[in-house]
Amino acid sequence: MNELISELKLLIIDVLNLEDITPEEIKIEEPLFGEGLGLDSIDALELGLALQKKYKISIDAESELTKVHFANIKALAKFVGDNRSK
Amino acid sequence: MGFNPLKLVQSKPFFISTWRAWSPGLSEQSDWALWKQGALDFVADAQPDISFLPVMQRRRLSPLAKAVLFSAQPILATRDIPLLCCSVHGEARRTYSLLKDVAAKNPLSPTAFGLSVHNAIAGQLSIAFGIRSTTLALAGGDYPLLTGLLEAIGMLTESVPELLLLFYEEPLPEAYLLSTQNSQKLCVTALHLCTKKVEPNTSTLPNVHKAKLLYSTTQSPASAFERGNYQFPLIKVLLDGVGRVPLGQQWELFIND
Repeated sequence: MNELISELKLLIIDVLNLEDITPEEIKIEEPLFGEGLGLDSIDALELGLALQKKYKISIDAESELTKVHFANIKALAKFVGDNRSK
Repeated sequence: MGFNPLKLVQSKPFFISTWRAWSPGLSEQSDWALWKQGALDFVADAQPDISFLPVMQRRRLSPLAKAVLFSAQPILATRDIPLLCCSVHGEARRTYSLLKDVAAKNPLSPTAFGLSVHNAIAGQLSIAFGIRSTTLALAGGDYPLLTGLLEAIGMLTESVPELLLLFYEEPLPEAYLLSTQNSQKLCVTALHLCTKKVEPNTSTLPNVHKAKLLYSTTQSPASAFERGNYQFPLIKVLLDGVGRVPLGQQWELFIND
């Protein structure tokens, strides 16, 4: 799980061009969107695409659960861990 | 009787309150002055300093957008004025990378897709500086200086008292060079245009030039598709503080002349 968390932090920094942010600065229970890291809706799309590419996860944009999965790094790591097919 | 362009010999005079230009290695008017003398050259891979922007606003900017924001910053930091963004090719590199993804049947990056439109830089300027005035993105065509300045004159004549006119180009992907010439240097020029003479409140950017457009010159520049760096002749005359810049289709810009 810790390995996946580190991997996801690096993925977020890379695909969302957060070059001035270090992995340590992304707290695993801090919100990714709005407050906290401050990502926006375009980031959500970009991140969804990156997860599809890297882990072959299909994400349902309409599902309310998706919001829960994308809440913070901890939730995202659990979601990816449970659903990855790669 | 219809409109006869031949009768429109010259525009009303206007003022270039200040200007700023950026190319890799040349950030300030003093750098450009040295460049004109041959004492300073471009520096490959130089980046404009846009540390005035919060980190989260910087991250999506292309090198071209960064140079545009850098050039506009001293002018827009204290003013909410209309923006006129004029570019022949815009962010062609971003578009090209999307096209390559389409060809390879890769999914497209939503960020790159959203920012590949011609008015994306106008939008990014408006977000970064909180501009609520009109913003307009023009395709420069064969004679981008003419396209931008004619539009600007129209706005100034229609009671817009001041505006920011921007010209910007970046090196094109190699595949495009079969059908067009393009500046192989990223280059941005920002002109603060006013109907009245106003002293710039930015001490770093001095000089006020009186200017007008004149119709009927026989001088004509080559099309922007046939030569690169159409901004350089304009920058040189701005540095001299006096002179004429042929714009195309028989129009000419007179500066303090």
